[in-house]
Amino acid sequence: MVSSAIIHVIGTTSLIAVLTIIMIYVSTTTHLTLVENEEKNLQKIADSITLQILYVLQVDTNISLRLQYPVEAISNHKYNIYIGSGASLTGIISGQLDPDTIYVVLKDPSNNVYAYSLVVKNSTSRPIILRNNPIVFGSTTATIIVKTLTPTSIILEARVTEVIAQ
Amino acid sequence: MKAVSEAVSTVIIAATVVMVSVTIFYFAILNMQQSVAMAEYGYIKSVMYGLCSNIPNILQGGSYGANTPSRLVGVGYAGLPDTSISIYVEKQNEVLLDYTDEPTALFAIIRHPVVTYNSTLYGVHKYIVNDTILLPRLTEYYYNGATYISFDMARVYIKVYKLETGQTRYIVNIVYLDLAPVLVSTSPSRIVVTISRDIVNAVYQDVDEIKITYTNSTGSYETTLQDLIPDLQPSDIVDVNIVIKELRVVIM
Repeated sequence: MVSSAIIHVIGTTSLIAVLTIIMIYVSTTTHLTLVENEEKNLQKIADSITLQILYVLQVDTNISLRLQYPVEAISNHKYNIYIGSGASLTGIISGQLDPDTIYVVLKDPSNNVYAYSLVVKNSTSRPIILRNNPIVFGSTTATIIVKTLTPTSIILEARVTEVIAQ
Repeated sequence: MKAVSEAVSTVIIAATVVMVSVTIFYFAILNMQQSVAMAEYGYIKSVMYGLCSNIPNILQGGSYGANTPSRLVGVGYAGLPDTSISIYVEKQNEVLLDYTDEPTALFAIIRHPVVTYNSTLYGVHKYIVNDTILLPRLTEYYYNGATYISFDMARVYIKVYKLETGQTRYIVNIVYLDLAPVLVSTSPSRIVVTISRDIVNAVYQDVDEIKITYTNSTGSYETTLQDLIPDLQPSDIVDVNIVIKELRVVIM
């Protein structure tokens, strides 16, 4: 028996549909793997930068330290580093941050991936004052963090000394 | 007549099917090779980036090791052509140090046009830098059908500190790393980078002249003590702390 045209149309359409679904599934999974990997890397780097800032804060003298972080989170993806109070970072990430706590936020705007790490809750008796709030610099720079002690406050600022990568 | 026409059409259809299959086959092979090349190139680039950002740690006694891709990427080394760096220290017409090095560069090469332009991936185009993270430089370029990544350390770190204790005293810190690669395998798949020895580790007190000379194919450039400390008075004391280390890169 010769099949009618409608059967052909249904068959072809369902084949194309199955193929399209597989293609969309594979590309989505690949992209998600990439993004999750980048998120994990950013989290590790954020924790490392937090530790370095804590070190700067715990030393009881004026101190400067060149922060260490990799240029790329994943291949060909640079990122931005924000150091600031939760209040100043609300527009940058979507999570809820405590306004009086200082955080390190790493964000890759091209994938809209970010990670953050809590540095310290600011005190009212001798507050940490950030020269710029938030401090922003790119992962392609050599940046020195400078701590200056005053009787009433601790001043933190970041100085970008050189752009080291493109 | 009917039979002949059928045979001819069969041949034509068969030939077309074979031709299309062969074309798809070649396309697939090329595409796969390009994918492998891209993946391996990205991998070696990450390894090189990691090496650059770990130089300050290596300088303080750490080490850096990484597996390198070896199917399409080759890792090796060569001298930088026509390039030399010399560090010269003098005190009362007596030469305390006259060190000259012809810097070596580490190369990764892939015989695919992965990147067809020149760019600096990491570092600066200066021969005197003020931070140890700026000592390494990474560039990528395309030459004769191959893409190269070049890693070199042809830079001198200099930092000047000023002490005011009645008399003005300057302390000049100089660090230079001599890249010394060694190849111990015919098909390398791993690199390990560490400091192997101190070539010079000395403090010279009250010196009169420091000269850093950098020569490459574009010319010769010199930096003297007067350039490092523009407001130097004859009564000021200049102490120099020079550290020259051998950066051993074992490609194995």
